[in-house]
Amino acid sequence: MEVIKSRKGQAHIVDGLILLLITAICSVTLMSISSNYGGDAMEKYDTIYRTKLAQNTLLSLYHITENQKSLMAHVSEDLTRDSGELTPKTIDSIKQKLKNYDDNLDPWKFVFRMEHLNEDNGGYITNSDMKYDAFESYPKTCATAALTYIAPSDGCIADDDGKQGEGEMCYAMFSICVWQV
Amino acid sequence: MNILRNKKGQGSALSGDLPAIIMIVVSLAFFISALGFSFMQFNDSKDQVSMRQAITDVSTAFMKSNARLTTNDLCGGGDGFFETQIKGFTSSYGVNIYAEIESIDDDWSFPVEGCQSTPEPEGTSGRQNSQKKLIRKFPIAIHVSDLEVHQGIIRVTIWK
Repeated sequence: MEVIKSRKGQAHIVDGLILLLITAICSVTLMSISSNYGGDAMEKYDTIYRTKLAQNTLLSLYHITENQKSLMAHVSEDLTRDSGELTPKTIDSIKQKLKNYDDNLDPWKFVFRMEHLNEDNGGYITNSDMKYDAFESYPKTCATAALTYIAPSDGCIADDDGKQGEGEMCYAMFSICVWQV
Repeated sequence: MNILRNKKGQGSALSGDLPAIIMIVVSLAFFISALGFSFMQFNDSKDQVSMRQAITDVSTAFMKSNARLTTNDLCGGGDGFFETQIKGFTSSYGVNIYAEIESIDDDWSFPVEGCQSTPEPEGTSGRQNSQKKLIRKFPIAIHVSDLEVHQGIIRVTIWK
């Protein structure tokens, strides 16, 4: 009789242990779900904000006025005059504007890129320490737009498709990329 | 017979229903605590998502008005930009909104005609003390005339 009671007691302990295990698993699962809730949604809103910021900064470059002329008008003029290259003065001007953003919008970083130019002739202008090679693989959001400029005497710079523009006008794609440090 | 009596005399605490009852109580207490903690965490996350959505939407509304926004638009009252496009977020997200222009243009300084900031919401404890607060700063061009825009930085704050 005592042996039966003892076995019954052991069975209760085993039941209790199983219950303990089940509640532990349920509790941990519940806490894990609740702690991860909203992560995707917040990432989505951050991505939307990054995209809007990139587009807005791009638009702002059109609206930045220097001597009653927009910064993009300077870029366009440079491309027309200097065989599709940017002059050091315009590059400095863009750098200064990006630096202003950096000072005021910390921790955001910006890159101005012209697709048909390389790093040496002003195709990659940034206010961060990011090197071009690293930048390619860096998580960022970009907004792209086309810039029109008058064909220089030696013609437009051909893009990958071999297109150079239409008539006397050339087209250049440029983009603003943003990320947070 | 003697052996059985001896075992009965020792009366182990692990025999009978007591251990099982203790474990059930502990299990339930742990589960209920976890449930409460998860509920709090869930509500907190929901609040954070809602705040993130609100700041994104409010910022986007300002960005959409880039180069069209005037300093008068920030003043409350009437049918201006603030009343029609910004104030609605206050009720839909249950947040307070305050936006302020910071200048970066060399030739652009305050005070100017119009408002430098939106009105401070009434009846709030203030954005400085709020624990639930989000701030976004971004460039925005202020429209003066069709031929004149000034580049500035706007700081948007939302809080509960």
